Parts: sequence; structure tokens; C-alpha cells
Amino acid sequence: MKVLIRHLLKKTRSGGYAQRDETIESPSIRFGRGSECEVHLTDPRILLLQLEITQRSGKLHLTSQGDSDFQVNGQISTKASVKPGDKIQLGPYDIEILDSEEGFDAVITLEHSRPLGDELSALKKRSNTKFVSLGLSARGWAWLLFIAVITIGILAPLTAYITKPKGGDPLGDTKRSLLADADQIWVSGPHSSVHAHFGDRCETCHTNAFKQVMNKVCFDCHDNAGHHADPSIFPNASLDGQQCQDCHKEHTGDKGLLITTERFCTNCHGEILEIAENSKLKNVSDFDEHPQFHPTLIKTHQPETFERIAIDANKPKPVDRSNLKFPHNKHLKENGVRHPDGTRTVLQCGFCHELETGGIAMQPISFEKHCSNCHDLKFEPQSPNKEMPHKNISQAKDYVVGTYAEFALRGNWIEPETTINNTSSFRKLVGEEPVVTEEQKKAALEWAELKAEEVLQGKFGRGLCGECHEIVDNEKTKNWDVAPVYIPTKWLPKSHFNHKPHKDRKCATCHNAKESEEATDVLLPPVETCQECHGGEFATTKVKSTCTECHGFHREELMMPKENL
Amino acid sequence: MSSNNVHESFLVYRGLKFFWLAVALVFVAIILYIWHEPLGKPNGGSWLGYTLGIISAALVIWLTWFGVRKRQYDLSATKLKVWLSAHIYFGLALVIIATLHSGFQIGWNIHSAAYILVLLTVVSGVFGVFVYARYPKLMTKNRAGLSLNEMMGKISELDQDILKEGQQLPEEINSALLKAVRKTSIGGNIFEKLSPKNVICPTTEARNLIEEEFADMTVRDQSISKVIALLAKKMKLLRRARRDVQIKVILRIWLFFHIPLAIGLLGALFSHILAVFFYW
Repeated sequence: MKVLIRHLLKKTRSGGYAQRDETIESPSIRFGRGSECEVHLTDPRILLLQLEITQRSGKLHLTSQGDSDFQVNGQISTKASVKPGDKIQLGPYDIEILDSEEGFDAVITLEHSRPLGDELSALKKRSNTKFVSLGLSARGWAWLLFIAVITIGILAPLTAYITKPKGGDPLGDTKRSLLADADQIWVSGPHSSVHAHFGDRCETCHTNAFKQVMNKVCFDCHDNAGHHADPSIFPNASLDGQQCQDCHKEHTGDKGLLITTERFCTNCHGEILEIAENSKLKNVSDFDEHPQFHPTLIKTHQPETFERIAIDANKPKPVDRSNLKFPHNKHLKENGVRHPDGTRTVLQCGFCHELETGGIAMQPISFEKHCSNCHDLKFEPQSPNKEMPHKNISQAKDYVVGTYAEFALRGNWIEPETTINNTSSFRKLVGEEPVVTEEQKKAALEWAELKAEEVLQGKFGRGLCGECHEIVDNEKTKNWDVAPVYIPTKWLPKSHFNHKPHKDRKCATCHNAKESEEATDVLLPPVETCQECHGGEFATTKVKSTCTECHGFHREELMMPKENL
Repeated sequence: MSSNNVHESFLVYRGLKFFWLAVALVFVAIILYIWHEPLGKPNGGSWLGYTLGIISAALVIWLTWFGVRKRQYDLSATKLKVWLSAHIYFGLALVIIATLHSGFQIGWNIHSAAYILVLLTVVSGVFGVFVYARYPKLMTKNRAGLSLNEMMGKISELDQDILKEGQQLPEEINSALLKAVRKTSIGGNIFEKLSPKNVICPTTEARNLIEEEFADMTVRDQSISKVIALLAKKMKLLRRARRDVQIKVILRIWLFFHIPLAIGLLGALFSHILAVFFYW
């Protein structure tokens, strides 16, 4: 067959084509990339041999080769016969069958309609070498993060604050919206354990925005907090104008709420006289240098005055003027004390000194509970069940008079040897028969008075009381009296001591009672005894004990004014 | 780091002037912190705490201002390099000052969020310093006088040669070459840009295929050998082009962390200051 191939080349300006004609004479015409093909197509998308055209009975037959196909007027085919006017698409090439011209079996046009194009621009188009963003621009991410932070950090907590109900008891409101807790993000640190129950209710203390927590809020609960020192005497120790939170730092757990460092105290008490000239205190910088204990002791009973005397081995012993007589040594003898019934009992400290329920201090000594088992107050052998009451001396005296009056009136008295002279007129009556007449009654009571007076002045009266009590004579009434008793409840009133943590130590470790012969002995240990185990804040071989271990800061008796809060 | 390298000079500007200033600031802060004995635990509420807080806040705002200053191209009174040098050393100093301000207290709150953002911002900044000290040099070396555009031009020239040489080769090879020419790309998504070694490259595949098909060297004719040589040349250029893209991304990507973190920090700083004084 002889075919005219019309290569349509570049488009001209007028819209037509530049063309190149090629005549091929061959039994079949092969289209492909291979050099053996009659029509050599250079596009790499074309197979080495892609299409073969043959002529059978005047018609053109198209057969695709290898794994390829073509389109005839848009229809995908692998085999087709075509006629003039048909348009064939072969990969990037377009073929059109034209009307035959003379001398040719067929005339076809061939156009490379879809060339590969410019490799560079294609490569650039495929490639993404610019770095513009990570989803958003840096600025976009910045805004996103900023808005997120501001929303969580400002807007939500502020809304929580604004929408919270004002007034009332914040702790009473048990059901709250989730939003109400949005201000928790503002909490700067954990509560102290004592305030932990305020939990998420910031408004319990933070009542006013942009205002420090006010003293009033603290005094709502802690209304007993007093001054540290009397501001009228020590004006520079006054707490007036101070904020509670200046010292009591919340939101640092348990570490900041109560200051326990020595430095807090020794800032002033290290050189107290330079700060407070009129102070009677001594300088102290550490527990190792703690001044000697000065127990507060009664100096005079009427009027009551007190003095502070050091427990110092090199100085005169402090004297406890309790007006009692009590030799500890005799009561703590190793072979015990003799009971009136003849038996012996070995006494321990705990027999009389019992801890309070809280374990801090000792319960007061009671005559009835601790003494009366051995020391009875019987005064009349003919009335062995009668004991003077141990309330006060006038009651006791009345009781004795009453007892003898009863004898006089009932008349069962057996007169022993007596010193009373003027009893002859009613002696007989008192002896056996009951009193009958008014005159006899009067005489009997007079006897009773005299008898009681005799007893009270003797060994069962003045003598019995005087065993434990100091007795004073009243110059005017010529009578005797029991001296007023003062037993201190706190020897060192500006400190607190807790017996409970010390209970595993023997009492004698601190209290040398076994060698005390007089009740005037002060049986407190000196500070050196405490220092055997306790050291200061930075002690390494002793129990670390700072000032607040024993001393409080606020003094309840020096109440702070609560107006203007 | 040598001082004659322009990319490193911001670190050693004027005999480390800002380095020593920052060290002095940190030194004074540490001495004060050790000397200071606040009531209770060290915290931001003592006088030193407030002082360190004010210094930290001022530093944050001044450091953030660098983002504005570096866009003010017309201001030449103080060189940007000077600003950058100060920015780096005072940014590092901020970590210490802010830590001391916190009193080493950390919790789940806006205050610690601000602190964490300080740390993250500075860490991203330190990465930036590392990147600026290392990569410009590597970029110049990798380019060896060729711009990325020129590399791509050379690659496309090679592509045409490859196609021409490949015309007479078997179908399978030709289609692999075609794919190598038409599908090979440079860069791509962010992961492909950052990690070009993990990208499946059609050019490499084509070369591997030919090497496999013509493992026996004796059957390689001239055009096979030429195609292999062309592919090798193209692969080398591709590696350089991709490395160039990778370095350019690394030089910029840290800013996508540094800037948003810094602005987020600014928000957290405002929140922190407001919260402290709101619930005083």
C-alpha cells in the first residue's frame, strides 16, 4: 500500500499548520518508537511498536500492538477498520483519515498534539521546594496559642469570678458549675493542710479583686490572735497596721503558713535590748544559748505578787512559797511509806501526778484523792468516823464545834482528863442524861465551844493541819489560821511543755524529787537538762527544736483591736 | 567556632559583650537568692521574688520585641546583629532568673505554664542558634555555586538525555525511565522535605531496575551504560537539590515553634501577672 503521511507541525499565526508530507510504500505501516517502524514516533510514551495499519479489500485496518490501545472517534479499541473522516487518538498523537488522493491508497494526517512539554517547568510544577507554613503560618500558630492561653488563663477564670454568687458562705454552696472552678488555674500552690477544706472556693479568703487578703477574713475564725508584746510598752513590737499575710503565707503547703525558723525570733530577740530597752528578757540566738529558766514564783500571798528566779546552780535556790509542807523524799523512800493500818506502800510519782487527758500537763493534786488514804482528818477518838472537811479552815472549825455540840446535846459524852475548869455545873448532865432545859442547853453549848477550842488548839487541830500547812496566828483574834495555799499551774507561763512526747523517760530524768526535803524546792529542771537532748534549728546531733517548739507568738491576753478591719 | 565566619559572629559579637552582661545579671541574681532568706519557702512574693519577677517580665517583653525590631529594616542605628547577640544571651539568662523567681515551685497552674513556656521558647531558640551556626555553612558547601533553580535546570537537561537514550531500550526499562523523568520531584510535603532519604524516588528505582536487568556487565551496550551514567548524575543532583530544600526548611521551621511559643508565653505572662494581683 502507498500512503501519504501529512505531518502537521507547528501552528502558524493564521491558525493553519506548517506541514511536511511523507510518502510511505509498504505492505503495512507500523507506528512506534522503534527505528524499524515506518512511522517513527519520538514521544517516549509510545511503545517501540504501538500500531499497525494494513489494507484489506480497500479498507484500512488498525491493530494495536503490545499492551496498548487507541481511540477511534473517542471509542477505545484495539482493532478497528476506519474510513475517511475518522479521527484516531494514539497516545499523545492525533491521526485523521482524509479522502484519498490520486496515486495513494490513503492520506492521513499525523499531529503530535500533546507533547511532553518543557521538562524544567514540569519538574518545577511537580516539586514543592518552598517552605511556607506548617498548616498555619508561624503568625497563625502564634495567635492560636495566644488566644488559647488567654482563654484558659484569663477569660475563663474571670468569668468564674464574675458569675460566682457574691456574699453568703462560700463553703456552704455544695453544688457548683464546672465553670465556677475555672479560677483554679490561678492557684499558685497547694493549701496548708488546715485550710485545705477551702478547696476550690477561692472567694472564702479572696473576697475583693486586686486587694490582698484582709485581716478581717482571718479574724472571722482566728479571733483570739493577740499582740506579741504589749504595744503600750513595746510600740515597735505592735502588730497594728500589719497584715496577717505578711507573716502567714498561704499556698506554699504547710511550709509557709506558720513560721518556725529561729531567725524569725532572733532577728529581734538576738539583741532584744537594742530594740526594746525596757525589756526584761535576755538575748537568745539559739536553743544552745537559751537563757536559764526563770520560773514565775509567788513572792507574797497578800497581796499576791510574783517574782522570776533562775534555776541556777550558782545562785540562791528559787523558793516555792506554796505554804505547804511536803517532803518528796520521805514519800518516795524505796521501802515505801507506812500506812496507818500498819502496812507499807511504795509510792511512785504517778500515784499522785497523773497526766491530763490531753497528755500535756498534770492534773492538780487533790487531798481527798491522793493524801487522805493515809492522812485522815479525824479529831475525836469517841467519834472515829468523823473527819474534818478539807475545804477551808472555818468549815473545819465549825465541824469540830458541831461535833461537840452534838455530844453535849445527846449526852453520851465520856469526859476524859480535861483542862477545862468551869464545867462542874453541867458535868453530870453532859455525862449521862440528855439536856432538857433551855438553861442546860445553853450551858452544854458553851461547853461544846470550849471543848472544840481545846481540840483545835491541840494535836488534832492546829497540830493536824500544821502537818501539811503553814499555820499563821492572828494577832487580833488570838486565833490561828491555815496560810493561803498557792500551787502554780504553770511555772513557765510564757512557754508550753508537753509531757506526752516525754512519757517514755523516767520522771527523775528531769525532776529530782527523791532528794527534795522541802516543799519549797522548785523541782523544775534547769535548761541544761533540756539541752542534753534538744538543740537549735541547725543541730546535727540533737533534736532540732526552734523557738516555736515551746513559745507561741501571739498572746491571747493582748487582744488586737478589731475595729477598722 | 571561628570568628571569620559571618554566620557565627552574632555569638561572639564584640568580645562576647552580651554574654558577660548576661552572666553578670545571672550571677547577681544567684548571689541574692542565696543570701535572701524570705519568710517560709522562697517564692515570687518576697521582695526578691517581685524583683526577679519584674526583671523576668521585662526580659520577656524585650526579647519578644526582637520580632518587631527585626522587621524595622530602616532602623540602622543599632545593627540587628547586636540585637540578636543580646537576644540570645539574655534569653538564656531569663531561664535562670525565671527559675529563681519561681523559687523552684511547680504546679498545675497558669504560673507554672508561663514558666514552662519560657523553657520551651528558650529551648527552641537554642535550637535556632544551633541551626544558624551550622546550616548556612553546610548549605553553601552543598550548593557549590549552583542555585536550586540551576540544579533543577541541569536535572531536566539530564532528563531529556535519559529519554533520548532510553528510546531504544525495552518497554519495561523505558517505562521506568519515563516514570523517573515524569514523576521524580524535589521536596514535597513537610516530612519529605525534612527527610529526603525516606522518599521513594522513581529515578533511583529506574536505576535499580536497570542495574538488576543488566546485572551482567557483558550484556550492557553503550546506551545502557550511558543511561546508567546519566541516572547516577541525576541522582547526585537530586540529592543536592533535596538537601538544599531540607536545609532551607530547617533554617525556618524552628521559628514555627519559637515564635508561637514566645507569643503564647506573652499570653501566659499576662495571665500570670493578672492572677497574682487579682487574687492577691
